[in-house]
Amino acid sequence: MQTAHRTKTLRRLYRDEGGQAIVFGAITLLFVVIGVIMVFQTGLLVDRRMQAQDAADAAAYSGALMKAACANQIEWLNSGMAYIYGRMLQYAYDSMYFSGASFTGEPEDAANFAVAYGQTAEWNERGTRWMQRIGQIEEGIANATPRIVAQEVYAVAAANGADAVTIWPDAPEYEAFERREDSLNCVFEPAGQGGWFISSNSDYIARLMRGGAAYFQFTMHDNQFANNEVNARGSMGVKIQGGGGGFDNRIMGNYIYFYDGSSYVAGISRRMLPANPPVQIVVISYGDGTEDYIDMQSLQDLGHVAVSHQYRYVNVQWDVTMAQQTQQQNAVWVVTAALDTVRLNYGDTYVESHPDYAYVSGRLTNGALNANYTINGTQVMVSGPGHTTMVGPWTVYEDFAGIGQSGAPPQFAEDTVPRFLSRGVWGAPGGIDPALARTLSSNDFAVRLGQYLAPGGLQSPTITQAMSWHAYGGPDYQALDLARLPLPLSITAQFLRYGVSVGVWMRPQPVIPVFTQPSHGFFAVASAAIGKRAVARDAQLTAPDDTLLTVRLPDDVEDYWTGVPYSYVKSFDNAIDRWSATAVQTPQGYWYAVLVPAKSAIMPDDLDGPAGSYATSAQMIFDKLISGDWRNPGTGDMDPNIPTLLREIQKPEYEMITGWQGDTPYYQIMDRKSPPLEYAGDDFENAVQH
Amino acid sequence: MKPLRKTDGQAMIEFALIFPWQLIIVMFIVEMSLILVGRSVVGYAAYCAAHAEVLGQDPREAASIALIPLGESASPFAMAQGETDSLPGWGYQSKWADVRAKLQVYRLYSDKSRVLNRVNIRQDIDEYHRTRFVSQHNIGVEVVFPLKLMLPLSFFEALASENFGSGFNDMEGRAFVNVNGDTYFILRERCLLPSRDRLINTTLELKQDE
Repeated sequence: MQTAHRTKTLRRLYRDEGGQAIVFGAITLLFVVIGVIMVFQTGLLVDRRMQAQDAADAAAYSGALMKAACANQIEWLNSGMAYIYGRMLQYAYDSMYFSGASFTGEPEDAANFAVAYGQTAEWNERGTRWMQRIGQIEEGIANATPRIVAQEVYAVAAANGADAVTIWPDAPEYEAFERREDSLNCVFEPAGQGGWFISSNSDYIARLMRGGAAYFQFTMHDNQFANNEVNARGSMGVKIQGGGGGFDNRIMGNYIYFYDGSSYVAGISRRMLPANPPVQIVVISYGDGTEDYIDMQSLQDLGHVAVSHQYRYVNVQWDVTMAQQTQQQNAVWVVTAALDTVRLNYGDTYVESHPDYAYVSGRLTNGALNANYTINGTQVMVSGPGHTTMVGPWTVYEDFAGIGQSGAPPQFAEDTVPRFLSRGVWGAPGGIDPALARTLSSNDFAVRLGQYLAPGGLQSPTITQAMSWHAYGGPDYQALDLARLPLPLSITAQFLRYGVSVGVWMRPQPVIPVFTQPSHGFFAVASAAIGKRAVARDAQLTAPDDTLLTVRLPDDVEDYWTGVPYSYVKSFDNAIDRWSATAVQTPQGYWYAVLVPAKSAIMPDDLDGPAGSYATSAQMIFDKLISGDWRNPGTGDMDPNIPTLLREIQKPEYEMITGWQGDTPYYQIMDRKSPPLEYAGDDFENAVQH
Repeated sequence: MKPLRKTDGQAMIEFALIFPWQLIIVMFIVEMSLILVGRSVVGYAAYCAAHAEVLGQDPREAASIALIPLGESASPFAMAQGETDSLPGWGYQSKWADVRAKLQVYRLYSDKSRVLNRVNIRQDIDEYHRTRFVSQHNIGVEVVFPLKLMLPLSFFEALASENFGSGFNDMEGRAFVNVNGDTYFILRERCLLPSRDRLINTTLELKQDE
């Protein structure tokens, strides 16, 4: 019965022709479903990968931007400290200068000094307190910087859907800030004769100079002061000292000391001088054989005088019309020594000094010179180690009466210079010791000469002179208590060099595994470096260089801030090099962040060496991955679930593969159990190194 | 007329009539699925190229690596170039050379008239010329890749224009191309990413307080 019924049913169904199209529809639907899943799966895979990379990029860039912001804060506060420094000095000077003290060394001047000292001491006390407070704020920012960066990275990564994030370097892996004497590059030095020396190689001083200061000595290193504009107007004195390397400065001011290994230039501020002051320029060129280039374009502001000093070569060009108009007593000094050649262009006059001789050529008697002679006169002295030559028909001092025949450069005996200087025409107390003056070829003389010229010519003492006043019975002036002044914070090279590298991990997508889905999830690594924006072009960064990142400087030049050679900077990032091809290197500007390609591996030398030190690396991130040092971006804490998920990576089926494809780093977390969408194929086993 | 009323074999006849259309429909679905998959991959390649361009890397190389799954192992174009490539850790990539031979990457830029232009980033292009466009605020890259159709669908072939062995240099304005007897669907995907300059400028505006 059952069988018969079943047979009947089957027969009926066999004869039933309804629903035949279902078969075709089902087959079609099957392919449709398969296609939809395939497309959906691929799209999800691709989207997830891009999302992971975007999250890593955004997090790394944001973290580096925060880091740069912290560095900017430190710099601004350092600048503020420098400003206070300068104000303290300026007030100290003004107090003494306007106190009525004549600084003649007489005891009756002591009362005036007492008043000045009292005012200065009060101001110094106040300024010191301010600087201490700023120092505390700086330390707070410095200590908080790694945490600020981490929070930013976590937040941005979480906002972009990251399930885990790791950062390199962590705070313990680098020293963010340190207090160094040269960070502000303001080293206060009560130098013996020269006044209050502030050694600096920072551009902070450049800003500070605008407000005027007492007496500054910049210790310049190679190009570290490059392209700064120093406006020393109203300052008591500026002295720029180089370490023997070449530099290219534009310095604007009317009281200027330029002093590097090969040259020395001093100008005297009109402010410090009587109503009709002379404009004096002294160029002292040492025979150290160094290559120097000084483009003191701004000296034109001083007295329409342009002084350029190239390799063993000094050019002084003087617009005599200025002297004619002002009827000033002008003097140009050129003191040279062996190995250096000095050329002095005075109108049509050409003065050249060689190691063994000096001569003057040109039309000494032409109109310009004669016109100058008719006014108050000018001395041009060129002296070498073997011969001292005073040239110029325009000398008007009675000591040199009879010298001024025009046409031929007069020759003088060696003691001409000591006699000349001992007259005290420069106002130096007692003049320069003739015994010292004879040692023309020694650097010591040049230093002393400059030291005498400046305060003496000014008829106004420096603070250091005031400090030594007690030797004459005056008040025992106390110097600023430098020990109490906090040194500015300096950003370390590591802080800038490493930048911020971020690794991002996203969970695998629970999709029907039509195609192989990476069961380890999605990884992405991104790095961002910190650099400074070039001034010349807004949109460009220079390397830490971007001081960074500057690309047009010689290789042997070091970055003023990080001490990193620019050769490193050039290899810092080829992309940055290309991008900032039109940028001009400058130490000024703020710190910014740029995305850079993440390196797959970082060599031990990279941490200290010049090459490729900027950022890190997929390998670093991977090490953290293995150690489980990944954070939940939402909380910033270790997620207990993440290590268990990532422990899969440590299984033998997974392997981190790093390498280089040309110049491009290559990294991949290889899932040998489920290879990616398409992989090489037959050579796969041979390619894997166990 | 009893035999005429008999329905034996009717289903077979119907199947014979329906099956070609059924097959075409299924093939079309499969082909369209493959095209859509390829479109996703090309879109990912465009992203990789734009990302590489932002970072100053080679966008062509980045796009070609992403497009390896869509390449052909035995491509006459790749064989002509005689390239053998391998990725570190992944060994020899037999499809890579083919991808590079077919791939075209364009750098998008807008001129003063705000018309979106594009310039082909060729393999032999000078780095200088390539980076002339980097300073823009947005990095736009277009990746053009001919996807080889797997199934012989005659109407696709009919739509395609003949390209007699000259490679894929003339894909402009075409959806299908016939090359050496194979039909290719031209996939075009664009990706636009903010450049580093743009990010920098944004921060500059925020920080300009002087």
